[in-house]
Amino acid sequence: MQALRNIGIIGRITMLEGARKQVFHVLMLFAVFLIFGSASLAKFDQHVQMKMLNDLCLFCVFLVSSVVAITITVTGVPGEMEQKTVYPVIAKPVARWQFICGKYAGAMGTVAIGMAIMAATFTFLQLSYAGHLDMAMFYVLPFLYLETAILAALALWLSTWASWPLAWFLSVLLCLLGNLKFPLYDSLMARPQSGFNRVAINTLYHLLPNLESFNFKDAMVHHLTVPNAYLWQTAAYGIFYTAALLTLASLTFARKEL
Amino acid sequence: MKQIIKNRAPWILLSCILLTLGSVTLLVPHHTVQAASPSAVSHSAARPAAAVAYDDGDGDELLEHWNSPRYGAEERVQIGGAATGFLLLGMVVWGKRSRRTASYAGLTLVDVSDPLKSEFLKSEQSLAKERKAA
Repeated sequence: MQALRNIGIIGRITMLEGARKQVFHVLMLFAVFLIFGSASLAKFDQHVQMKMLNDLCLFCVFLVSSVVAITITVTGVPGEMEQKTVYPVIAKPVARWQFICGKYAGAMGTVAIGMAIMAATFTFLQLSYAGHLDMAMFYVLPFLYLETAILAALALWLSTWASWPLAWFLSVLLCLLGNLKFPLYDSLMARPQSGFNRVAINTLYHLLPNLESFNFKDAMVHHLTVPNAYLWQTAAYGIFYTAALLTLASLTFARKEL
Repeated sequence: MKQIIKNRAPWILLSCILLTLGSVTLLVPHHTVQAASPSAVSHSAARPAAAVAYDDGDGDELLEHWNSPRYGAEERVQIGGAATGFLLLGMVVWGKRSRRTASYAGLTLVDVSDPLKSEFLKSEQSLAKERKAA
């Protein structure tokens, strides 16, 4: 119970700190501008226009949420260490894993605020163009949030052992690789490879997160049905992967000399 | 040696990333457009190309990834891996904790090297004997 309280306190402060950052405000303005801009880009008949609008808006939500999550998480722990604000916290009866979980929860809180703003803008556009709300939004957006949660956990783990610019760069690289996992694997395995290469490629393939799994944008755009079993499995997958990365980050941070 | 590697770690990592990026751009499939002969065109029109397992023929293989058994299988493999990792970690933590508890228990019974502690233990034992006798 005390652990949850500690995580809650650190999370609240991190969330407020993140929401007050200039980069967050700029990114939010950029996102709202992009979402409204996508409405003017999609100039076709109403049916195609809605498809394009949904596609562009969801892509914008994913892009901006990912950038916010990576930027806030990557600067969180190294920033605290640079400003030496981590020492008074660690000196209190707060375990290091609680500190890491608190920082993560706070960053995800900031991402949730950002996503809520973008979702509100998107809803307004949908209501004004189509006159009704697409119900698929209620599962497409949570899965985008889960994808961002994996990215944030990955960035947090990287920031516990690398400097923040390097961690940011690696996070973006892993995000790209995670989205291109299957085509990249197919193209690699289509060529003749040595035994060692095959083992290395297969290991990396199974370690990389499969971020494309969380992309249900096409289901919303083309009005397709996604099986419930797949949705549950993907949700479990996201939660497991995030928990594994957070455990790894906690272990790395616990061994770090401060 | 370790310090030298630690100091140069960012540069080593940067070169690794550049190499990775370079190899990724080389590995991504490049489709070259070739002019097909009229006979080849008629042949391909008569017989459609072999369909990919998760391709529904709309030209976008990734459009319906939820219908692909490959995605589901990979997710299950990774969930299993994470669960095994948690189980192993739990076993390690539990083992460490039980060993620590056992060593503490041993300390109270056998450690009499500390004179203060041994005096305390002696007095405790004598008190216990007196209580028993009473």
